[in-house]
Amino acid sequence: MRSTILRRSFLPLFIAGCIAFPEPLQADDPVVPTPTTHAAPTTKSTAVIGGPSSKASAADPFPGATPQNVVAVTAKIFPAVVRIDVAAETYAEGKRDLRRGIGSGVIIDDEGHILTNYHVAGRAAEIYVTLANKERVPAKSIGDDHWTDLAIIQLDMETVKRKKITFKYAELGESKDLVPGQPVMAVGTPFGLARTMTLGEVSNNERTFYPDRMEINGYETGDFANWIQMDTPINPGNSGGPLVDMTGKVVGINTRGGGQNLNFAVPADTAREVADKILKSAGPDKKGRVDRSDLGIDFKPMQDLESFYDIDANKGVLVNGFEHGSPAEKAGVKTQDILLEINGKSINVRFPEELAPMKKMISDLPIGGEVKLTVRRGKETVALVAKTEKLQGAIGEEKEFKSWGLSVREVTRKYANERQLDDRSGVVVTGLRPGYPSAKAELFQGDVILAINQKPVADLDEFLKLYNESAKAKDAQVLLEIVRNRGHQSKVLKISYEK
Amino acid sequence: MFRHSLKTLCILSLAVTGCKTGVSHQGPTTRQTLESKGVALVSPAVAQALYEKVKPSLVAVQYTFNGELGRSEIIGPGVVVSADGLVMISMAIVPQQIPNGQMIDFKIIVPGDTETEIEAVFQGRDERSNVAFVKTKEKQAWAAIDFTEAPQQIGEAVLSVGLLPKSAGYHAYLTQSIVSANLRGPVPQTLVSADGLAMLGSPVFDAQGRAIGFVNQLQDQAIVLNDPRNPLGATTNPPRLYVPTRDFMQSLQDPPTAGEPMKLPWLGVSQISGVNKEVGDFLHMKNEPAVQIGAVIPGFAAEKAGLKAGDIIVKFNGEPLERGDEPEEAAQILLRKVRRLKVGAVVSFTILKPNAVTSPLKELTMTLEERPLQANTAERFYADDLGFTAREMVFEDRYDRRLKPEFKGIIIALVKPSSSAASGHLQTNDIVTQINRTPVANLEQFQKQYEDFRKSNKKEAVVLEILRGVNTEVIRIEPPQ
Repeated sequence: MRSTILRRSFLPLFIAGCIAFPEPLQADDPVVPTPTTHAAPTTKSTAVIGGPSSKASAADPFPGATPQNVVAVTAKIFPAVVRIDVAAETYAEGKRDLRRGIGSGVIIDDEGHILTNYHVAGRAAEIYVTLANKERVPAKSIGDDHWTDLAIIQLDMETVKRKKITFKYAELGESKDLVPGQPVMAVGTPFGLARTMTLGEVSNNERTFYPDRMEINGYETGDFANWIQMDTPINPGNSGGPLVDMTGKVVGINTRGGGQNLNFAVPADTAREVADKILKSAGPDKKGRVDRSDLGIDFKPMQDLESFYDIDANKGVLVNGFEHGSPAEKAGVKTQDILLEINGKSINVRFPEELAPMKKMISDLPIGGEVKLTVRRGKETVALVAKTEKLQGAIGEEKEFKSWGLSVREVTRKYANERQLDDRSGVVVTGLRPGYPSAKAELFQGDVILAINQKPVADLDEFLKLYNESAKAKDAQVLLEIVRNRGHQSKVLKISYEK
Repeated sequence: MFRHSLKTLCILSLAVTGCKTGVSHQGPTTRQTLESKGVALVSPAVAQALYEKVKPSLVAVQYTFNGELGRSEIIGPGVVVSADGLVMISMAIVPQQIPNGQMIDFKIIVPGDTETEIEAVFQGRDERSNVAFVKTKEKQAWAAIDFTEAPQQIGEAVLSVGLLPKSAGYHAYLTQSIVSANLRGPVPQTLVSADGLAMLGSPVFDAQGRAIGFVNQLQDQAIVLNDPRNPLGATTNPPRLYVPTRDFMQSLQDPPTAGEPMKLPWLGVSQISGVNKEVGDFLHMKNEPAVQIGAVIPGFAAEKAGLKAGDIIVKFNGEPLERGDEPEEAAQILLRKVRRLKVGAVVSFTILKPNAVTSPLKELTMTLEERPLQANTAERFYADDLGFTAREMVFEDRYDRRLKPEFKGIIIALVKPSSSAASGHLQTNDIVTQINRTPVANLEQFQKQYEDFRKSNKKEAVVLEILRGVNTEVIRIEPPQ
């Protein structure tokens, strides 16, 4: 399963098969076919896209993909779809770097907010947006949420005003009513080919993946909503672009492609909620985010286990495991408990497709609040009380420390559990710059730094503080205590400061 | 099946060796060049005499790897080391990962026109020097090779006699090269010129015909005589490293005997690392070899003696540590030294703390305890109906997962591909803690629970609670309907 953002570095893989497009990455390249029928720039800056067919009649629940409809919807959605060029932050060999990539997005309001994928703009340091009228506008990141693979960026409205640039925005529709077989269209920037419209059908609207497929670039994704599967052709570069129904409303955000016409979109219902939360929580110096509750339980559908546990079908969900140090563990949840009720509300996860909605329900509980769990344990029914915690991902924050020549990451609870670390203290080495002090001192990727000059490193903030102290004191030698494969070692960095 | 097990063997051999690497084939140094530079190689007559003398002491050792998924024959070269028929082989032929009980039907094949097979008994592995021994059942007079310790100087000629593979009738072959370097790795090894040596498991001789070493500890080398994929691998890409006799003399003098597993001592520490130059300088150690203790295992000798994680050892039994070619090797050299002592021996370490430049030296004394049992000795149970093997937990399994000694469970040692267990997503190294909601106490009880359930509920699924890494999982194995 590949994500559908197009990276420049991936280009050689794809270019071989598309000789017809010599430089597909250049949006302004005249060779790239551009639609001739896109909406002409209006003088008025913004307008909601509404059309004659925006309300489906009862007799015709979803308008068909007649040539007239397809042309009308295309004309309607085009002015709201953008190409996004990003330089995303990456860390390689201990160094913060930028990696260029291209994705798509859809404008969702008159303030120039654009909905796209986390894997397009989530770690973007520089963003440029190319509007449907081919105007190029800088944009900034407003917030993101890797759990749903969504991000919000905003056009630089100063530029928009100054240059009198116009754009339109699209309306988010409802995705829960999508029906397999219903026609849907995708618009985006496949292989850098901006403003590409493709047509297909919804293949399934409750697709769930194996747990090991529930991540993009190491970030967990797809836990709280099933995916829309469609055969609408999308390719690298389509990521973040809208999937629209035949009324021109956005029903999904195109996110993943599996090849062979197996493509996946994040449902609009999820996108609407996440976008609202990001926009509400964002401030001038604060990225918008979505906070969720977590119990730390790994659930398994009950399918075929009802008789083994002597429980009525369509009742409960199996506790497959739980994280160490999690609210569930503290509340006394045990593996093979059947969770029957949460705060008196009954749970039913018989099939894998029912997992995401249940996890969504848990994530919506108040953070830090008490939750009543009713579980079946053997023949008994047990009442437990858990206190939720804020959901944390497996990948912690990462920073580069130039004069030591390394990058480190915060130790999250998940990471500490997976690596069987004693606790969450320290930071993990994620990369080393060849020829710099850390590499020379024989530090390795994956080492956990526990102490700097005998002062314990509790977390990334503490590491930063001690690093700055050491740099200020111009320490020529720095003693590190590290843990590698559960073994403690001392390492000494030799640092030369320029005079 | 055979290919599969061979592949396993090759991988295993990599795990077992792990010493000097990076010695690449440098292209042929021809005899003419050597002679033109005046290097004395052994004359053809002397070489021929050695060849004839050594030939009767070279045998092929064969056994059957009787794994749960099938059998395979493994044949490797052996050297007769005593007149009563004791044969030394490289431990690469009998990797530790093969459970002891699955190596059966040992035979010694005596090459020649009247190729004979003699029944033999496996004597055991000797981890002190990575060799193993097999002994013939029948009494008969054997021409033994008498190994001697004779360090070679750079440029001296060395000869090696080995056996060609089964497909070449185990024909003996001789190689000659010169000593290029004497390495001081965790295992001392001598590097020879590109003409190379005979295959792994062959004896090495000096110009006087004395047996001075053994070809062992190699990576990426043919290790068996019946590898169908690369039968002549050892002759086209000859080994270039041998282990001098001093490294395995102890094993020859005190070899393991059948039915009496070797008792190896250990300290009860893990993750020992060599102290590199930067840390050494920081601690003003003047380039003395030193090792750092990574972790001290609770309940064993080192902990009782007061050794702590992070402590740096600078002396062993009052003597400075032996230097390797690189700092990291000091750790392996020390561990190897300890391994060669007896259980019950009293040893002392001089340590310093890694934090303070002026840390005072401290001496700690401890009595070596016996190393806990390894996985290859654990009892196993093969559930062939659902396709998995379970074995008893050993110390390492608990240590790896930080489980308390009282933690109960059994280890999944093997899952048969495409079996019911495989489609139920059971995995190797899972620890089963419950079967059908009954806690697992030990292998015997698990086996009984399992067999009783399968007998009376043929069509019903077996539900296991397992620990995978640090996480529990509930596994449901649906039997064939």
